Amino acid sequence: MSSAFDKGGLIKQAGPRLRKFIPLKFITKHGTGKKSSYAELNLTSMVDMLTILVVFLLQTFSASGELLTVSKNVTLPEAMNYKDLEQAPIISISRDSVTLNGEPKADASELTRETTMDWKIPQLHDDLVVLKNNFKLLHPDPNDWKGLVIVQGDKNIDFKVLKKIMYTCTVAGYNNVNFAVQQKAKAGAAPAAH
Amino acid sequence: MGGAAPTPSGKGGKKPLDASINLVPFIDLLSCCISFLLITAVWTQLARMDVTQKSKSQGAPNDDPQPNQVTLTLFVNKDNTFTFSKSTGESIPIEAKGDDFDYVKLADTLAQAKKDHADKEDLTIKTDDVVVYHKIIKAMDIAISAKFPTVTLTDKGAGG
Repeated sequence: MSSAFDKGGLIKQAGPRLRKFIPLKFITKHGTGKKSSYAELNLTSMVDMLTILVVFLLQTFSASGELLTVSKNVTLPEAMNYKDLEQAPIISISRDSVTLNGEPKADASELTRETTMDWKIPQLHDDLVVLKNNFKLLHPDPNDWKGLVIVQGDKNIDFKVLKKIMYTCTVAGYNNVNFAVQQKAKAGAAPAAH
Repeated sequence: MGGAAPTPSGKGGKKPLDASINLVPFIDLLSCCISFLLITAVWTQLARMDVTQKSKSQGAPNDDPQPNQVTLTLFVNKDNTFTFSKSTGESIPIEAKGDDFDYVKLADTLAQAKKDHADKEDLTIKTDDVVVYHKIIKAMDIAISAKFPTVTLTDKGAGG
């Protein structure tokens, strides 16, 4: 190596850096140059987040839509064994009133107090019959009629009220009574009561 | 930005190795999907429970049991006790557990009944007037879990 420097060959010893000899501030100082106005956004994490959101929303997507709206003063009981909802007349029973498709038909507290043996609720019966006749007019095929009605009862009502509703439905021709429930997740293979 | 590294072609290999993918339309699509799914989302998970009824003026569909067939009945009493009975005369009382029904024992009793009568699918629940609705639903739920899918609900006065 030493012989190569002595002879003035191609390899030369490195001298001092250029910057130290030139007293220009823009070279010696850092960070004073004009900043770029273009800020690059990292889109990868954003796309990840959007994909996760789409997957979550697709999992919770219900093709049947919202067939049943729970009244504000009705708390539904929970059940692990259930079926999907279908389009049907909805009878809602709260502590105060009985409604058919949102229209009040009877006073629930009165039904609880009543001790008569006549279980039929006249106004509810008549309106159910009207709904049945309307359905049969629109669907002439007798096989279309399933006699389905959904009873949306508050979890704390007595069976006394419920049996009157069920009886009225049966008399009006609705033999397929269903109770609306909140879905409860099954805990593995354990029995229902555990 | 997303990128890929294709193999260089041609001489010299001076072409840029990164090919950028335009993510903007992809983000547009995802945003539209999210908007649509959020608008149509149903957060309340509601369902229905099927029940057969037997009221005072009407019999259940299978009201005329075959002579050899056993009928299973679960009585839900107002004192938080169950009584599981068979038409053969056998009766199993299930005592209350504190201030509530003993649902665990009910599940065991119904599971045993299913073992004894594997072909039976129907169970009649007869309940007092003052029993609260959600307790009846729970008893029905346990009955369906014990493989008795056809549950008939009636009051104690209807032939009980």
